[in-house]
Amino acid sequence: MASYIHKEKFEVLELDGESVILNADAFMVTTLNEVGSFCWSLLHEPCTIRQMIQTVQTHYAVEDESIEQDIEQFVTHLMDCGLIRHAS
Amino acid sequence: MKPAYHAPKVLKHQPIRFET
Repeated sequence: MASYIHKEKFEVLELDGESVILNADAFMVTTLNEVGSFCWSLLHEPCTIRQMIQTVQTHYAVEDESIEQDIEQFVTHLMDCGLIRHAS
Repeated sequence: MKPAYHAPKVLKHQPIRFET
């Protein structure tokens, strides 16, 4: 299964649980909500979507099946923003 | 002691605006 990791080392500010990620090379700034920030913190090292789902379920004590879809969409969005890449 | 779960979201993705 594919694993993902931060594309590079970005400057990150945390404000009220949200993360503001500064991509100085692309001159872009990206803001993540609280759960997005938690998922972002998991991607410091290679992490599969399955691992992220399990960690989020444990951390937030939820068993909701929609989490799987939420995280897949979130990871796709981070890829589109150029913030993560496939770890190989 | 758990935080509330909301779907993880990218709230904003925008270019940096420079004020000179």
